[in-house]
Amino acid sequence: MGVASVPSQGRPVGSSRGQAARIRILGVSHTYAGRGMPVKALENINLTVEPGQFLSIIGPSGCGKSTLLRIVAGLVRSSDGEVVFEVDSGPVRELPGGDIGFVFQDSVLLPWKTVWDNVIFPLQVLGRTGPQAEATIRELLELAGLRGFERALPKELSGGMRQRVSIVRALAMEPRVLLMDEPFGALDALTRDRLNIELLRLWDQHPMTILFVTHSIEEAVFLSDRVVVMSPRPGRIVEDLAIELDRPRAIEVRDEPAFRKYVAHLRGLLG
Amino acid sequence: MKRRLWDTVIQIGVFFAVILAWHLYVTWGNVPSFVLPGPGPVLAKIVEIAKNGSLWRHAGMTFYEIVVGFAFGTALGALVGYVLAHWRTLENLLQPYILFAQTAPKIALIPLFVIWFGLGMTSKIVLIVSNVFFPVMINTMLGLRSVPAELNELMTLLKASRWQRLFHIEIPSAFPLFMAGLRLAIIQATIAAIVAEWIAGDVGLGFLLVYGNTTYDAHLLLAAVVATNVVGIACYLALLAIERRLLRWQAQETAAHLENTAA
Ligand SMILES: Nc1ncnc2c1ncn2[C@@H]1O[C@H](COP(=O)(O)OP(=O)(O)OP(=O)(O)O)[C@@H](O)[C@H]1O
Ligand SMILES: [Mg+2]
Repeated sequence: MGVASVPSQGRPVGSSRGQAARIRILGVSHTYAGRGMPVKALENINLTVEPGQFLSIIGPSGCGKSTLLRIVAGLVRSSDGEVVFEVDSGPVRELPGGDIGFVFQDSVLLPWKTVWDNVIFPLQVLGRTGPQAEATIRELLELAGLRGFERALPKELSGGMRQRVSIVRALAMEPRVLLMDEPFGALDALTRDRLNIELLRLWDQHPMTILFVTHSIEEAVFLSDRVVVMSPRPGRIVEDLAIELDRPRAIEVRDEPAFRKYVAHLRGLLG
Repeated sequence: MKRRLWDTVIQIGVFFAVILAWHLYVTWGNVPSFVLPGPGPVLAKIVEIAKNGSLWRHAGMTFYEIVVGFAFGTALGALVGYVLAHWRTLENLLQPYILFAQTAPKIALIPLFVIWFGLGMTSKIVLIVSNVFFPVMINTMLGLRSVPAELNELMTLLKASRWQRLFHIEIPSAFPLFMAGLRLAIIQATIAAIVAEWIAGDVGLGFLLVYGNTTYDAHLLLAAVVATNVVGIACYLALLAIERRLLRWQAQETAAHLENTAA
């Protein structure tokens, strides 16, 4: 269980709003009180995610991956340990509003708002609208292949398009940290491949630290600088693997022997 | 459009058919007019009381009570619904009392209200408020609870204020259920107003009903029934119009916003 911290490979790590954050997860354990028996979801998680790094978490269902993301997001208070963010101004327990983007498993859009309004609404809440923000949104919608759908309502979009909207919504805030909980789990393989490529491109242009939860080993290897494997509940880190494949990565990288080796190694761990 | 036109034609047709049936039943069946007057004499009675002004006085009073009671009851119901939706402990604490108060027939309380608040306006308004309050409160609560958990979490990540949550997420999410509550409430308000006037009062359509009844004036009684229905339906339709207005307003806001931001 070598906790290797791999610096991002010479990538720019600052967005226009400041540097991506380093995430330090320090001895985090979590037990849900629940009804009846308490459920121990996480046990002593220690993890440092470098600024601008793309880190994926894989592990069996119920091992506490979502719980870990929620703790990092500050949506759940861990029963033990702490999460510290290191930004240019120093270490902080909590980032300001809008510095953490969260993409849920199912797109969570406001059904009564158009695509455009859905994407801009976090910025309205943050009081950060303006010509520049709107230019960014237009660029992101373009990149995500949503141009021309600004006026559409969520119900008029396909599942994959909705998920792209919620990713664009998260990116439009230019967060320092992006947490993604199986964002493509509900999509077919082809759409998933396309969105993987799009996500990497967006990340390339808007650098941020990404924690990405997935059930797909291939997806994790394809996207990440690092893949962390968790044990069955209570979740512990059993492997921390640096993925040293060149970027930018094309879909064909999956046919390379190095890629297959990583996948085989991880598959062996998950049994 | 064509379909709606047809629906309207059919509705009007049915209305006149019912009136006609009523007329034929009364004339051919030789029904004495103190039992059931025909539509003609009832209409004449309505015209009569409209001319001498008593219709407007009574209907106006009833309408006024409904509007005031509905407004207070809605405000109170929405406020308490909001508080309870966000404060589960309090809700759990109050749950049994709410259930009790909600299911208790509040109409039966009017003599008590009369003792507490007198024969005047107050006791009537209190009765209406108590009938409007529960549907509005319950539906406000259900509406606010229908906000998806992830949307609330999104607002937490944005460190949104209570007001931002309310305006961005909660009001739009809760709107349909809230309006459904208002529709139930406006009907309750109408019934409560009539019953209150019936039991305690010397003015209002409810009073007119009782007056027609006790003086064996079937014409007046039926005229009052018709007027009551008209007031009730008018209130209901006004509410629907407001609802539609609000929905259109929101759609326009969105459209206008897009207009401004489009490249
Ligand atoms: N709100 C909660 N209350 C009680 N127990 C919970 C709660 N949320 C999760 N758990 C429990 O904690 C454990 C970890 O849940 P979590 O959702 O983090 O797993 P996961 O790794 O994301 O699983 P999956 O891959 O299926 O999404 C599970 O056993 C679950 O039953
Ligand atoms: Mg999960």
